[in-house]
Amino acid sequence: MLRLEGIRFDYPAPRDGEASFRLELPSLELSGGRSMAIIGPSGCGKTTLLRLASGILAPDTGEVELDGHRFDRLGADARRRLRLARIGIVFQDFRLLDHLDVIGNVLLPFRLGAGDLNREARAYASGLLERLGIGHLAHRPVTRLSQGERQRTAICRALVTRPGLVLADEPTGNLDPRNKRVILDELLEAARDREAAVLAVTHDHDLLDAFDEVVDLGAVVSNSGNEVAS
Amino acid sequence: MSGMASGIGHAIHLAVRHLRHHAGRSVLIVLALSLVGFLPIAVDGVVDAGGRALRARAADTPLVAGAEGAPIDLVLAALYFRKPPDRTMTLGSLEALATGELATAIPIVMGDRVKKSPLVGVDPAYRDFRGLRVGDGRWFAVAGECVLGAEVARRWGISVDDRIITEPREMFDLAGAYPLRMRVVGVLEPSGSADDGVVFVSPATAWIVQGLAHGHDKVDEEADPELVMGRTDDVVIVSPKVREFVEITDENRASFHFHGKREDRPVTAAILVPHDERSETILMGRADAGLLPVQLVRASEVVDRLLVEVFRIRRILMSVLGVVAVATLLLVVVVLALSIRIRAVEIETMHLIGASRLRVGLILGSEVVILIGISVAVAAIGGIVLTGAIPMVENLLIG
Repeated sequence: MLRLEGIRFDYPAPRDGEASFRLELPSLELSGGRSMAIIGPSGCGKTTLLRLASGILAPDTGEVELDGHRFDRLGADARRRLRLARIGIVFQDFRLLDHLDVIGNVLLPFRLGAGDLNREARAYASGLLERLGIGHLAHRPVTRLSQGERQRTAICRALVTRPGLVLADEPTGNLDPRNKRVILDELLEAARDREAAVLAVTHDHDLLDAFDEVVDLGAVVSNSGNEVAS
Repeated sequence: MSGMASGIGHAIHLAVRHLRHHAGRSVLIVLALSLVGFLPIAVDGVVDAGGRALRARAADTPLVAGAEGAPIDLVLAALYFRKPPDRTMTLGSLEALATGELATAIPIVMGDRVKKSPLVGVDPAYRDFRGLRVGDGRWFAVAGECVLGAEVARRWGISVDDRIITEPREMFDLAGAYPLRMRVVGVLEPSGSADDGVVFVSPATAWIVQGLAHGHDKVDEEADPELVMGRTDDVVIVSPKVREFVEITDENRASFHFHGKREDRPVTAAILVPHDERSETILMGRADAGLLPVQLVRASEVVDRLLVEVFRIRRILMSVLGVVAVATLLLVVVVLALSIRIRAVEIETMHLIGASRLRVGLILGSEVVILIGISVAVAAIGGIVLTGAIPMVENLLIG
């Protein structure tokens, strides 16, 4: 379960005289198997929220807890290790490594230290590929995949370590309208099957009905540094 | 597998995949690094080895005699059968040199070629002096027979009892000496020296090829009168019907004869083996005092002078290669640095997924280590190949 409580995070002003950025979030909870869409205008702090939830950033005040681990009490390296082991990330631009084939990309977290790359892990990865309908592409270079196949590969990579939380930053942003719904559904179903929570940032309001919860970050946070709306 | 070992294994896996994906760039970097490592070592090693080989043959050859001229030309002709000096000494002057039992003279008669390989006239003393052994057949016994160096026999695919023919001396001189067809009676065992690349004959055969001796139909008193067009006490004018023999056989061997005095026959060079140090000192003293009719040099001293020049050029070459190596290494560093910048998104992705800086550094470092490792292997293979090419280096050094 992901829990953010009393979060305040300040970005320093880029230049003298310019306004600093402050994200204040009273409370956010997301349990395993559930999904939450984060919407809001540009600059309201959606990406910052994902970075706080993933442990890339640490809040100035407040608590970030994932499956009993308090990010706010951990150092950067411990947060990184927790992210590698417990969080999957889906990027808008897929971020696949061109020099690896599909299965190579899916298994990348293990090669980066997420755990033992044993027979069981490989079987699990193959199962994910089958689940998302790209099992036959396992050994194809990712440069020869369609956009939809690329994002399915990225989803498999995010799920391969059996994370408790999947963070998705505009996961359908680079997909054509026909693929958007299909792939989002596949992401949410695959995560739900594995009891993983999904926290997704999206601008696509047509897809919000697919999520269990929707949070308009523009309505619940303050980014002026002076007031917090709740 | 321990965590660290497993991490290194995964890093190498990812590094190999990346290098294979960018095979063209990887190959170029490997080639550049290989050359950077290989060239200075190769130049240094090969010149050293070539120098050693040159010195070894020169050290085995005490004194070299020949006509006045450039000592280096004389020594290269006597040791390596290179282009003979323009001037020759006479057999008479050589024999005069050895008078007094100070040294054994081993004459070398050169000037002709067979299929671009030197034809070298020597007597059996040369074979014994160089320790040459006949692998197949026997040493030549009479004029018209020849023995092939191992490399020549291999290159031509010729064996005992085959026939070879000398190159024409003057293509357009119809009255000149004809090419001589010779019988191969032996093939030498490989010696790893210049002796492998020549055709050995007796001095007499070499002189026949030079046109100093020849054989033809008899034109004496009993000969067919049609062959003789005129006769005085000193001169016999023969008909064009008289056959000039181009091969020495048992039947016509007796007809071969020299014109001119024996002591005037040309000798390209001679190896002089003094009987002792005192004899050598006396001979060199006479040479230094200008008392000898020929030039006499110590082969090792001449080769040393040649190598001094070669090593001076090597030093210059090594300096240039050093600058080229530094420039190439800097270029490779720039290419790798640019590559990392181009891969910023890939590296950021690995960090975002949760890779440590150490792990990402291990992956990138593995790529560099693999490139360097392959480059070293390529350079080593090149070095091994070059080591086998020392004879060619000798040829390069002695022109």
